[in-house]
Amino acid sequence: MNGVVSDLISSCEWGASHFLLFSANVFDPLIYYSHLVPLLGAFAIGGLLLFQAQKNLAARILVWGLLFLAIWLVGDLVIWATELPNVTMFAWSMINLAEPFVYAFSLYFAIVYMEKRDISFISKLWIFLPLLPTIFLTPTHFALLGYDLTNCDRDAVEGILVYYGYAIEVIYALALIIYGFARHRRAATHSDRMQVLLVCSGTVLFLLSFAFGNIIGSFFDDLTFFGDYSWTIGQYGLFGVPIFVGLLAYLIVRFRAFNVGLIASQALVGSLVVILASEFGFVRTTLNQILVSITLVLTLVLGFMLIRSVRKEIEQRRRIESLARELQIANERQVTLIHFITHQIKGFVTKSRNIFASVMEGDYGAVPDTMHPLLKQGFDSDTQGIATIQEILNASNIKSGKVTYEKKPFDLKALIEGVITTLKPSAETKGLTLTAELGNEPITVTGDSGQLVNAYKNIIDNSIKYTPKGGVTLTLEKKDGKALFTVSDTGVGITPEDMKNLFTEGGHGKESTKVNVDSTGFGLYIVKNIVEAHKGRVWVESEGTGKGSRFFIELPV
Amino acid sequence: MDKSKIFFIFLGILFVLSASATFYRYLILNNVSFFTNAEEVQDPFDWSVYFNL
Repeated sequence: MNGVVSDLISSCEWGASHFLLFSANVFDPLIYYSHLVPLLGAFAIGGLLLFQAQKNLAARILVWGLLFLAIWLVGDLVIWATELPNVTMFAWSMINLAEPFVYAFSLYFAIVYMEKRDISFISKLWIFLPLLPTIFLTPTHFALLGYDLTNCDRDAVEGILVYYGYAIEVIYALALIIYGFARHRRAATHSDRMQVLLVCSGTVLFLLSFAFGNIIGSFFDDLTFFGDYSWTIGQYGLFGVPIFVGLLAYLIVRFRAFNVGLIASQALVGSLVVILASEFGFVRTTLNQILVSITLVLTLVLGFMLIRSVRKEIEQRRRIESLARELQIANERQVTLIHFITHQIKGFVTKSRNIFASVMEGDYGAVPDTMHPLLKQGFDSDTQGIATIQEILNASNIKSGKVTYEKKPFDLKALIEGVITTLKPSAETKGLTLTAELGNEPITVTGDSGQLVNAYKNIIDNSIKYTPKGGVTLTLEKKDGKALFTVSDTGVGITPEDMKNLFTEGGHGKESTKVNVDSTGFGLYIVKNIVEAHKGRVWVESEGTGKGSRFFIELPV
Repeated sequence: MDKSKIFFIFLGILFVLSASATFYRYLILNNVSFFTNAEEVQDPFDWSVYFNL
């Protein structure tokens, strides 16, 4: 060191530092808070990750990133504190060497976290090979050109390598954002999308907070924008580092039980505590210290309560979801079982009915007259039994989604006329009148006539069954581009309570089985499903018990 | 040992070597250039600074 240099250094009157870190050269004690908080945070979070998620690759990558962050923080603190030019040059070189590593590991971490597996060797080369020039040239004058003694700022003059470092840092950050967007687009679930969003924004914000000091300090140092406070303001960014690193660590630890609500509430409480605790570094009066202490304690207590209640709610929701899944499985098994049983029974009853029919028709010889009523009774009973089983089977098929609809245009009026022909005998047997006003013009609708015939048959049959005396009147009209079919009866009527579950699975009126002993409760449920599958509507009106009912089916024409 | 591990160990060794060489240059050899006036301060974007053009 020549005489001129020695004179200039002594004229600056820099204070001597202790352990290279503590000195009066630091212009503001804020430097210690802004560096030591992230440093301690990096160690604490790194330790937590190694303890909680050692086998997790993303956690190990984040720990490596934190190691380079720690090198950077110590180096930066030394630069602020030391009065020795050679120490400044070494520390300055170290932070420029460590900084791109933090970016590279951040990108590597975010990709591994999002993909939930390691990346290919080639991808690793793409991420880490750009660091080689920085590694090789850091000891040379490409990194630092020299020490600036033209003022007393204790600055190194940076070489082209440092700008190369800034350039690759920008590329790393952009690569992370672009990759994040692409990954977000192909995320399959909401939870996956939220994870991508949180890990990307957390990593980008971490890098921004990390670079904030340099950005503000470098870009506004020569301007009068912040006056002498450019570097002071720049220090605030580092306070964000432990918060965002904490968020990333938390995402790893809670990977299996990922929940945005819980993470958000914990991150909120954690940030509030860090910010409030850091206020102890600024407040000077006892009153302020007491106020900050009270606020901190209140935040801790209320934050704890908030997190606990959110966690409880999440646990309850998970339990309900698990029960719902179990219920659905049990329900599906039940449907399969009912389907199997009814199908088997239908086979037996059909066989029995065929035997009755053959005997009645004399296929096995002449039958005595006295036996005819008994055979007829057996035949009718089996016919009714088959109809009942078929109804249950239809409902079961609808529920399990096995019913498919082949929709074609057809004449609804003709279809209803066919149904009337089929049902007229049963109405006449009960002594009921069955009148129809279907109009003169055909009404063409598009749908599965095979399924719709069941719907219209069911709804008319329902009215016949629940009408002990009087009659059933059917009307069909074209109204506002829709085919409105009405079944009016003078039957038992429906109470408002019964009306609520009339079209539900197995739902029928409280007293209905007294009138119709064969009621399965599936008839109107089937009608509703078939009509709604054709974008139609079915509903009922009744003024109450004993006052009859009016059923409506509306289909688009 | 897979090639990724070998690559990261290689990178780590390079990092340590680089840091050691920098330490040796500045703290053992005390090889620091000082700029004592504004004219001496070199422009990092001037290639002649690095290659003696």
